[in-house]
Amino acid sequence: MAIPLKYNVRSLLVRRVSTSMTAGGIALVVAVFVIVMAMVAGLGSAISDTGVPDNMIVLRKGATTETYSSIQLDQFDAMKFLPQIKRDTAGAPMISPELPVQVLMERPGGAQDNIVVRGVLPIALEVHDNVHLIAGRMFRPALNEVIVGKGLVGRYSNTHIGDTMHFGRGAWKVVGIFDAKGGSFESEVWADIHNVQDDTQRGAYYADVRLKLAPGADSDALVHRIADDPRINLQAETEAEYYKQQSVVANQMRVLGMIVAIIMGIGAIFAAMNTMYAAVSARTSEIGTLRALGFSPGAVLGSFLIESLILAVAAGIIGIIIAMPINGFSTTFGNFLTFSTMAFNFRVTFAIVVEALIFAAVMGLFGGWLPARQAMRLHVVEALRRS
Amino acid sequence: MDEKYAVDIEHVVRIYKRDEFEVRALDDVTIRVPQARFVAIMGPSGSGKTTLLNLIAGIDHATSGKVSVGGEEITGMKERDLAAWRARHIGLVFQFYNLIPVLTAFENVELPLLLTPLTKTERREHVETALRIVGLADRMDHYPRQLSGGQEQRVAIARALVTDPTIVVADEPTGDLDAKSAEEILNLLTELNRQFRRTVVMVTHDPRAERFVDTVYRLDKGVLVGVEAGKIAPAHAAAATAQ
Ligand SMILES: Nc1ncnc2c1ncn2[C@@H]1O[C@H](COP(=O)(O)OP(=O)(O)O)[C@@H](O)[C@H]1O
Ligand SMILES: [Mg+2]
Repeated sequence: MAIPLKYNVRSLLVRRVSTSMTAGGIALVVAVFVIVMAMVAGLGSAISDTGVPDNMIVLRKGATTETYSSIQLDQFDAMKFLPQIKRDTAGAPMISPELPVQVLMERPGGAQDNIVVRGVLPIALEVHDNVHLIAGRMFRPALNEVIVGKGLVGRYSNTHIGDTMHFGRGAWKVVGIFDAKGGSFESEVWADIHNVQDDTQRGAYYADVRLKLAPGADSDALVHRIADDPRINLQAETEAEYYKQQSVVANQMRVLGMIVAIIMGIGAIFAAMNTMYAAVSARTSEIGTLRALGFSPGAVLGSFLIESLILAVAAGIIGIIIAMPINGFSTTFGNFLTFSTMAFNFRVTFAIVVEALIFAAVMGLFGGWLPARQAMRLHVVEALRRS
Repeated sequence: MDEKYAVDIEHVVRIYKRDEFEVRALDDVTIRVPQARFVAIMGPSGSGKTTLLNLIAGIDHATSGKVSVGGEEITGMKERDLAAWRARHIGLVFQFYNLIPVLTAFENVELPLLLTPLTKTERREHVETALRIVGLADRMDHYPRQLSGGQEQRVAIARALVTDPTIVVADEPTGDLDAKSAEEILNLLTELNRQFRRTVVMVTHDPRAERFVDTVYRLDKGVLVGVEAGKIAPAHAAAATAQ
């Protein structure tokens, strides 16, 4: 049988100061890890939650984002009545031409961010079925009215119903607020697409088209038709695929977060190592005694490794608790790919909690390894002489 | 090798190497301790007493010569096997008690039992019995710092006897105690020897110890310079002859 765990736990508690200093360091690293990962998870899900499973996005061939896409009216007309597109109760095809443009919006403090103003038709609310008005009403065409995503409300100036926003060449009246179930549309302003075309003075064109597939429709056939029909000649993909590509930003953040966590983790490993070396040194005669009583070198190694592990995992739990209030915290983030700002919520997922605990355990094992090996290699007689 | 010897040490040399200096801590020592004796190894400081005891306890290796304990030769054993052998056959008592400070008296005594296949209930019984023998049944939940030196040493003796070892080795068990506590410890070791018929090998330079033991082995500068009968006090002698 192994050396009992209470020996390790109580020894840690006895060395209160060094234990809490090391635990504090590890807890901090784990907290930073959790916060960064929660941000990445929140960002990633805000991007991918924007898509709807049975929706497709149509872009100019070769375009990777809406920003770099353009579609002419005759191309749109050629695909408008394709049979794979779902019809609404009134019989109208559920296809939404869209023109997102970047505008500068002011924060109450005076700072400015790039925000997407999306020119749409009223059908957009039917196609994007995760977008719902939660206050006010839909804009009326041609009146420079807008509806505002709830992620912007209060965060930017003049975003409440009844306010007048100024962007582009015009003044725009806020008439409604909408929710997009956490998706990135929540960080957008939606306006009448013809008003937006007029305001930008770039003529009558669209950037992209969203459409809803009819139940059971063959999406591959639709993709081929849109690509191969010379009157259309565009590229279609599911919104799921499109937003998955967009979340490379989140993945890059993730890699960055990992690198920071690893560098900080190495620091914490040295702290743990230092603490455990001190523990081995202070308890040399105890180690000698345990060995003399018949505990094997392996049992001593295991005992000190476990002690380091207990320290690190306990610290990890504290770190997670420290970081937990970030869950649901909402913030904005500049999307490098579309150069626009989007709001999202930090999300501390179960997977992040598990990863954080594993991360803490790894720090404990690395920090404890050399000291534990030193403890194992102590010569019994030499250790006992240090009474 | 002869079964009737609890300890059989033949021509043992132990040399410590420190840089280019060599210390001959034991120089051709031959000692035979018959079963169920209480013996003392005496001699001035630095004469090799601890070194000899460590060889008997299987926590150190002889440079040359042969060490057999309980009829088993331990000279060539590997460390892993030796650790298991110690757990089964040796009860250790140290000058500074060497209790684990973060464990209670009960838990300290239980430690060596964790290396046996005993169940938790059986361990509890053994520990309680051992603590009763040393007269500390009422201090089971005390931590070492809550005990006096004499009490700590009694807990250490309980820990040494709880596994029912073949032989108990004690290195200056009274060295750090006042006269009264020292007397108690010597009486306890005597009882262990007389009542439970354990072999007890004790290193000491306490002249009072001679009144308690059967035999005294005298070491000087690593050499065995004398083997004498102990000066057993009348009460002990009577107990011894009664058996
Ligand atoms: N680990 C060691 N390294 C070097 N010399 C040692 C070591 N252990 C003991 N010695 C030396 O061996 C001799 C005997 O030591 P020891 O057995 O501890 O004596 P005693 O217990 O009789 O006081 C002493 O000279 C001591 O300095
Ligand atoms: Mg000594």
